[in-house]
Amino acid sequence: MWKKAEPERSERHTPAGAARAAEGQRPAEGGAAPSEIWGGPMTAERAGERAVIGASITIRGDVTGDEDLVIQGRIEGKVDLAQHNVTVGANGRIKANIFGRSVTVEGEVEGDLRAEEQIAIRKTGKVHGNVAAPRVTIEDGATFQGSIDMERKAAPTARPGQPAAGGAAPNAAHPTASGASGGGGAPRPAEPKHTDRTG
Amino acid sequence: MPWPFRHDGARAAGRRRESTAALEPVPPLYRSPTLRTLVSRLSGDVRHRILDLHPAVGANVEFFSRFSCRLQIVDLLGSLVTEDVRPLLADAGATFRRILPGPPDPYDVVLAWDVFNYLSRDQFRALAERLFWLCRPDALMLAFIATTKEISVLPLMFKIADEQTVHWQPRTSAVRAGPRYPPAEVERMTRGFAIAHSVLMRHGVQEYLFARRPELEQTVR
Repeated sequence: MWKKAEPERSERHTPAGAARAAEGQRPAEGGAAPSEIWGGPMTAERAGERAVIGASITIRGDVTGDEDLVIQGRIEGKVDLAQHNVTVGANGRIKANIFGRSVTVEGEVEGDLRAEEQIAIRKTGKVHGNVAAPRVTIEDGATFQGSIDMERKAAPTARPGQPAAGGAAPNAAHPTASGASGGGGAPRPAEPKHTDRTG
Repeated sequence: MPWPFRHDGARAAGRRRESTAALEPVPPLYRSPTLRTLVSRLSGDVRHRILDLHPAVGANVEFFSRFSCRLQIVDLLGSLVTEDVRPLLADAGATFRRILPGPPDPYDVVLAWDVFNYLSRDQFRALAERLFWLCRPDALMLAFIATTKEISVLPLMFKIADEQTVHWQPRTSAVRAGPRYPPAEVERMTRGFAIAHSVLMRHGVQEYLFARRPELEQTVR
């Protein structure tokens, strides 16, 4: 008797069924967070310790929660998982501000990104908005338009007339994929290819 | 594909040659005395506001992270071909006001890189004027202006390796006629700025470090 209002079980576990289930239970505008709608495994795929929003899913509203999140679908609103990692997958299309412990973008984001630890924009990522994090990395090939707020890290001391070592900060946990030359000491500039000129 | 925002784009695009630099497995690495001067004037105690007119480069973001700063990235040349800007191209001033809206706080550093090489004279002047109004009175602007006969069809990618060294990475091997703006003309077209430092490098690029001239607030129009 209690199952009358529910969609067929087989349909419920398909992406279309999940979307229809969400449609039927959609709260009033500005109401309860969709995480309450998605709830358990019937409407969101769980992969290990993180939740995944599939590519066919569209959410209009706020997304909050207490676990890491991978977004392959569309979100318009806000994503707030301040204590967890947020990944916008290659298929993700976000028009929202995103807050996370770390934020990784492989898809498209139109909105501001805030992270407590790190923001990484991969080579397939496109971000139009402002980002703020202690560490921001942008891979070659990524598209970014906006501002980056950075707080000073402890940089290697450079004596006057002597270049500093690379561009990497000493507290970087791993080398960035950003193309900056690293290693100890400044690289020796190559001889210019053109003929000598006075100047 | 001709670069659409130069008046001589079609003519220049017809004469293309290959550049050997683009074929190098490792981008050429050059010392930049102007960058070194610019960096030496940045303070670790001040929160700088930096405007970069090139597409985002991770190495440069990483480099400036050693300073407390807000780095604003605007792909200026890429923005000129967007749908909302194209109708404005006939009015250079309106074009740059659209692409570079006023920030909450004025900038104290502008990284123009080689942007000026790909603008007509009208656009050159209009951009310099727009930057004048976007900058603080003591702002600095870095620019690389080619004096060679030929330049890459597309703007280069500049990756800062350290405080005085930059990788120059061509994005294509095709070349076109260079603007060859002489220093005197550059000075005229950047009326709101004074040349604080300039050096002609052996690779044919004149490096400029401009300083905004606060006394011209009332006269630059």
